[in-house]
Amino acid sequence: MMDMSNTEPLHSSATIVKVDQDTSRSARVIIRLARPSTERLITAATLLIILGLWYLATHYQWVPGLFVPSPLSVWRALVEMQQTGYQGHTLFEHLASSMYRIVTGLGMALVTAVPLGLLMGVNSKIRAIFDPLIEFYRPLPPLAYYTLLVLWLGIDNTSKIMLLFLAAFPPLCVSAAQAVKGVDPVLIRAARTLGANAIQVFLYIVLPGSLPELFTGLRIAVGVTFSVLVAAEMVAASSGIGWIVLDAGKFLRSDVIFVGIIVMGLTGLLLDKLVRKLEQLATPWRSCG
Amino acid sequence: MISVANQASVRGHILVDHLRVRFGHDRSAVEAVSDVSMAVQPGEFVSIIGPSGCGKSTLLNVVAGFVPPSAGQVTLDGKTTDKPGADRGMVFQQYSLFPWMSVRRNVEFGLKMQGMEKSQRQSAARTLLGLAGLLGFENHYPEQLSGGMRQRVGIVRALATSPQVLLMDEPFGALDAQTRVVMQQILTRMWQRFRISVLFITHDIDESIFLSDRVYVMTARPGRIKAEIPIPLPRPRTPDTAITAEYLAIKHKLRNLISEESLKAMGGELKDGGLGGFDIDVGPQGVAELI
Amino acid sequence: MKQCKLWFGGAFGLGLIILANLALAEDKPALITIGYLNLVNAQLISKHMGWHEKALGVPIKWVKFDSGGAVNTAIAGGSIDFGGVGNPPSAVGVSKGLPYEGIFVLNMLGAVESLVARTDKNIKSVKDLVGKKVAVPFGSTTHYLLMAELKKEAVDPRSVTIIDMGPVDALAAWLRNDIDAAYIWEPSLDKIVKSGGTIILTSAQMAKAGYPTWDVAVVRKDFAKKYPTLVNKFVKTEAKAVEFWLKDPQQSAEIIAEELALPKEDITRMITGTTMVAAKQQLGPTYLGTSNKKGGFVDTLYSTAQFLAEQKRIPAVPDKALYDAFINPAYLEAAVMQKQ
Repeated sequence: MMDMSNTEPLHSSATIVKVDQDTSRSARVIIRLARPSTERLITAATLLIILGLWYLATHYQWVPGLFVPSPLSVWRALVEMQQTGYQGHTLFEHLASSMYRIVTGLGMALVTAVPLGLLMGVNSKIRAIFDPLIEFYRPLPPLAYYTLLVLWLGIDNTSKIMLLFLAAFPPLCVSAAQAVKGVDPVLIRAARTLGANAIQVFLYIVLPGSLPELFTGLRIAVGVTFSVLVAAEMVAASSGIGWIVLDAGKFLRSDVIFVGIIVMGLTGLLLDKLVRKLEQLATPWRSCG
Repeated sequence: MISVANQASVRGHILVDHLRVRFGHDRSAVEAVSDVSMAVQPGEFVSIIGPSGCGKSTLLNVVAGFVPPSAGQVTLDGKTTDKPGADRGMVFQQYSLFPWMSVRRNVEFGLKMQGMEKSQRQSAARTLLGLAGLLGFENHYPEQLSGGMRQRVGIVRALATSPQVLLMDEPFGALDAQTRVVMQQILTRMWQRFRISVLFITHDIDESIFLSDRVYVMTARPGRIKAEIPIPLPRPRTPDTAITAEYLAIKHKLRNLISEESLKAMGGELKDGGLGGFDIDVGPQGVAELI
Repeated sequence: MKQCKLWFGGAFGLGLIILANLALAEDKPALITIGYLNLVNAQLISKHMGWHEKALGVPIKWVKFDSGGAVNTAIAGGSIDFGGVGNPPSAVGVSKGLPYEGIFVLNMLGAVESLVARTDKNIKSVKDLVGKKVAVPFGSTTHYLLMAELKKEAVDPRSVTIIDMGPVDALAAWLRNDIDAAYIWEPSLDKIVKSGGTIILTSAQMAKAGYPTWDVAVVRKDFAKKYPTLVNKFVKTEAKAVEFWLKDPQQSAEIIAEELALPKEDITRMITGTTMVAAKQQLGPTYLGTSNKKGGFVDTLYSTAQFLAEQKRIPAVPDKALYDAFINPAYLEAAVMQKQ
């Protein structure tokens, strides 16, 4: 009988700890978690150094207190903003306000840009119609057309959400179109020789094949909406994390500005991690082997 | 379910009638296949062998339904092959398993397209995987498999829909020599069970002799049938078959036919049994002189 | 021999002249940056006439600012030498330890800044603003007055939707029917009035009620320390502009109309809503006062600061002495004395 098991599956994992085949699987998992990788240690050390420098800079007044508030004052401002609120809302409420705008804008973009992008990838005529429109407004800075939006849609959340929607649309649409084009034609051929019709090819081959690049587009879109958020909250807002930063600037509250910026940064990071996790769940075949 | 063993199919009869395939228009047109006529009888294993670029893959693609004929006709059991379908299963040289599906789901795919119910599909797939010796890997992703394993999956995936004919486009070309030999043995054993018509493209002479009932030799581009060589070697064939005198005679014949065409494809010609038509004479001065 | 002596003499003389020039000349900056507000006041006259360039003998860069808050930021960053700030942003700036001094009264705000409300909504006072939308530029003089008035009339600010908008944005929102009222200034103010608005409160009324609003010229402390004579000249030139304004309102209107690129009728109306204070009067007890006894501006700043602290706009009210130190009439005194 022929030996068919001489071919080993591919494995790749980078653990520092050398463990041999005899160690039980659960033991190996525990060891991997308990001993952090060198990279994680370096990141932690860098953060601590930055924090330390910040503290020293303000303690010894290397920079004026107005330019860089001390870590302690920033902390105090954060606590106050959460407990007593900033201009009528707690920090959390401001953040929720901004998140509502971002999620709504992103959500709207997802359900419109992705299907359109997929269609554009599949049908060149549809691409010919929409491509020039998207490519034209994509490089425009949002602030440029934001005042128009406020003029047309008013000062409420509608114009702000619309701005975020417009910002998120191009990366999602373009990545969807690229994703479709990027699906290996051999896979499509294989599916057809297995009896799949056009719709089945789209559902079972094109769609799953597009997922990885779609998620890349999503991560970009999240980043873009985040950076546009502050612009969106510049006109006629009275809440939101971006608005806090702008408002505090008028009163030279650099401690509040720092709180706003740090919260924005951390939230952006979290959102990105969330998308990555979603990507892992939706495309399990990419993280194995 | 899959038809096994001796259900001597009267199906799987491929007829290629004066096929001509041309790509592009006017001046830039390329004639890939020029007046090819050949056939695959039901249950027959036929190989096409020829130099690179001779149009053998194009011919296969016409049978598969991916490329339309410019002239002539290709039929399978009387029906023209103008669209791809599950009646013509195909195994590709490149990575063609669906990466997001497990091995078993890949094999089930054709059955799912046919509307087969889930538990039935699963057991059919498992049977096939067992035949391929891959039962332990049914839940693995293709990424995790080696090249040889993936091609095994590719083959049983194509067989799952009980196609009339199996089209194979240099399926072992990307594998290393040892794996290739093993795969040929696996394939020939599997084929013995199903006796399905096979049209097999390769440029490996030994492979074509080992596997086939007949071998067509194609000319360099534009491709025509240069010769049709029957392989009357007894089955089942084993590695030992390759050292019989009969085998070697066939191999010698095929080798000469192929060399001629290979040289033509490279712009040279066969002269006195050796290389000719490549008039580069680098003298004692060396290459520098030429530049 | 004679030639040698001549050369020596010449060189010596030249050396003396150079030394003399060095001794007499006050070291001057290469460029002076003046930040000016987008308002109707006499400074625009001095700008237009090029009086500062002549008086200070240094090239001037004029930078326009839309708000006192932005001027504060520019001062903090050291990008301007002189600026103009209203009392609320000054109160904020001093509380933050911004290194500047208030040296001249640019203008007293009157009807040029007003609270306008929709005529058809029958809003007569801030009490009627409950449940309505009011636009006001946060951090400005009008923001301060709106909050003060709400407090005065015992209206809970949370029952009013107060939206942060600049005057131009407020106009757009008004035309779209998105807001019911706005406390802003000219020229957007008039456009709103002409589109179905009624003025229900002016800054002049608020001033009478004990909430004056004004703009002062400020100078960075380090600049003033280095070039005190230049600051004197600056103040003197501004005083000259105020004199011109008081003497010839017609010409002033023409000049300002040109500077702000607005129609003359708008400017004439804006002029009636703004008050200039003559140099000598500024040294009186209502305004800057004298170096020995500072005037009412210190009290205004202090009460503004108290109000802002209540509003949680500044963390705590600084010592009144800081406001006292901020108002510095010394340069104006020098300028006035020089005239005599």
